Amino acid sequence: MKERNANAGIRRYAPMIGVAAAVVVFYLAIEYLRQARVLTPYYVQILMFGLLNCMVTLGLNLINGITGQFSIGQAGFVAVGAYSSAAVTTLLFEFNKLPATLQPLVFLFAVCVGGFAAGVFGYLIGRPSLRVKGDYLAIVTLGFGEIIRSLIRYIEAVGGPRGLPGIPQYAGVRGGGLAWVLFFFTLTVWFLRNYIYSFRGRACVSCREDELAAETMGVNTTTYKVQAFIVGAVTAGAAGALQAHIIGFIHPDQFSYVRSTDFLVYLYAGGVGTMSGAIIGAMSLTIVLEILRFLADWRLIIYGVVLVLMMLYQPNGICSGKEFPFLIPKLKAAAKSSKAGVTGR
Amino acid sequence: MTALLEVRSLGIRFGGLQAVDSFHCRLNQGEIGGIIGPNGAGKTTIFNMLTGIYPPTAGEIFFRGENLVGRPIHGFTEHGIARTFQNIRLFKELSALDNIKIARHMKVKYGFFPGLFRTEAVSRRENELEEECLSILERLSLAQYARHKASGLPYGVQRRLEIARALATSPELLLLDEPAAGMNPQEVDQLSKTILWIRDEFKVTILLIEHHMQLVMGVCDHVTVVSFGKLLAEGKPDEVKVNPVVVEAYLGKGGKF
Repeated sequence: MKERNANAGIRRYAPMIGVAAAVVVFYLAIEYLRQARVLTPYYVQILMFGLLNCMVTLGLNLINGITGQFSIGQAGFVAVGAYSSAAVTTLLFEFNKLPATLQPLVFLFAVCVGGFAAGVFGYLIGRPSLRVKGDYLAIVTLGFGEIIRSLIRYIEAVGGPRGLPGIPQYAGVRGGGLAWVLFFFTLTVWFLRNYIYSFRGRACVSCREDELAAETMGVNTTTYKVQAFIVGAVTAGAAGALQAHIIGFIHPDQFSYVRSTDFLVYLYAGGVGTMSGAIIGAMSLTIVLEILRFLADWRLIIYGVVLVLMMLYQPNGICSGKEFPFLIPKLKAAAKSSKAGVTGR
Repeated sequence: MTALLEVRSLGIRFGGLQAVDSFHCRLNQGEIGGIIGPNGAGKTTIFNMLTGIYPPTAGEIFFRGENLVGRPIHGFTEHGIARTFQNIRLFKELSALDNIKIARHMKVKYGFFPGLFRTEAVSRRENELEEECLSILERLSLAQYARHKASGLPYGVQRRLEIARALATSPELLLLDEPAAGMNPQEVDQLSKTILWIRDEFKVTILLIEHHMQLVMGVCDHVTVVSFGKLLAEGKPDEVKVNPVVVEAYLGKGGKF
């Protein structure tokens, strides 16, 4: 009996262990290539930023794609996460003087603070502004992002308009920061997948599909819209915290509305409503932008052309509603579950 | 015996328009009530008040002895009132199964963090839910459409799915807004049987809006007639059918059903 339970446990956790192992192997492979000088730190850093963009876009997907609320101020949450976590490591602790054993804990704490602070802002913004819909919500969230940026300029303690230098590069390329980024990226994907395929995620989808019908099915749509907003903000905040500790310098202008639109483009180019779309979109466009760097000023023009071509030939995004199968939790009865999953698009 | 639903002098005013005025009705457990009336009489408005979509400007809605006026829409559902819509409002992009799963929302409860980690208990609950929902679909002979996108289903099936979705909230009172709309006589016949079967099978009380006299006369225990927002007549179907006021409102003077 006991043995059978143990077997069931192994079977249950096997996919998770498999994913964790794959992530570790991936990390070791990249690390090896970097030490063998096949990959320069520059490439690794692009990969890290790609993963960060994935995290933010995944959060945005929950708000825009799953819950159907048009939010375009995601960079504001990234800024909150970056600044609050940097405040922890520079103002609260003297990070570099801490014993090496304490550093990971303090860093983890800083990322949590970044996510938490962004979540609080998500609530403060979401609660009043989710009374408005569509374009109006977009304007409110856009305005919010800009307000955050303007406010930071006035806070002298974090450098104000000069930006905040001297943040410990604990997640920097040379310090094996890829491990941290991969860890948080994997965690984000796992959490969001579990969230989307829970009753809460389905409630969010019902808000997108038909708010009135959702209410008559007993779904408190306000709760779930705000919840999606908070979860999306926390993801962005965590990504912001990592970003601050990769580069070691943050400046209010890094979090302008241009950055917000970047995330929107990633999401809609990849395919809104699916995690696969968010991941593929953010990763591929981050890389494409870097590849086009040699074109100097022509870069953004080519980038624009790429996007227009995609709208013409792949209007539903690269993934167009297809979810990665491993991101759909298996149910016993669901032998032949549809490819679209709960997100439906 | 106290009534399951008791509506007292319910009224709603949109600006200068008194859409519904002092409407009342009473439904006992297990009964099937009907609301009939010409187009624009305010029938759907009454339903919208009974489900919290419109807050009434006057009157009370007692459900199991509790006044529900002032509650949010989902509060009405939590108390056991479910409905379908005149113009079908399924979650179109989702599968039939997911439509039902969303309707089971109130019956699934686990914490936020267990949900994030998808603990074993959560996983087990989700499996149970899948089975519950499949069995609901099966009972309404919709099992074959479980994985089909709702918008792609035939019209009649969509109507049935909407009823299934309403039933999935485990209601005590089921409100059907023109369930026979767009159906041919054979289908209406079938629907009458289905409605009676649903009442017995799911132990629900039903209130329906319908234009189809044949259906109303066939299934309803009690009929309320409204016209221009006012209650015109009420009683047993046979009484109402021969009430001259009702006949006049429907067919004009000298008309006959």
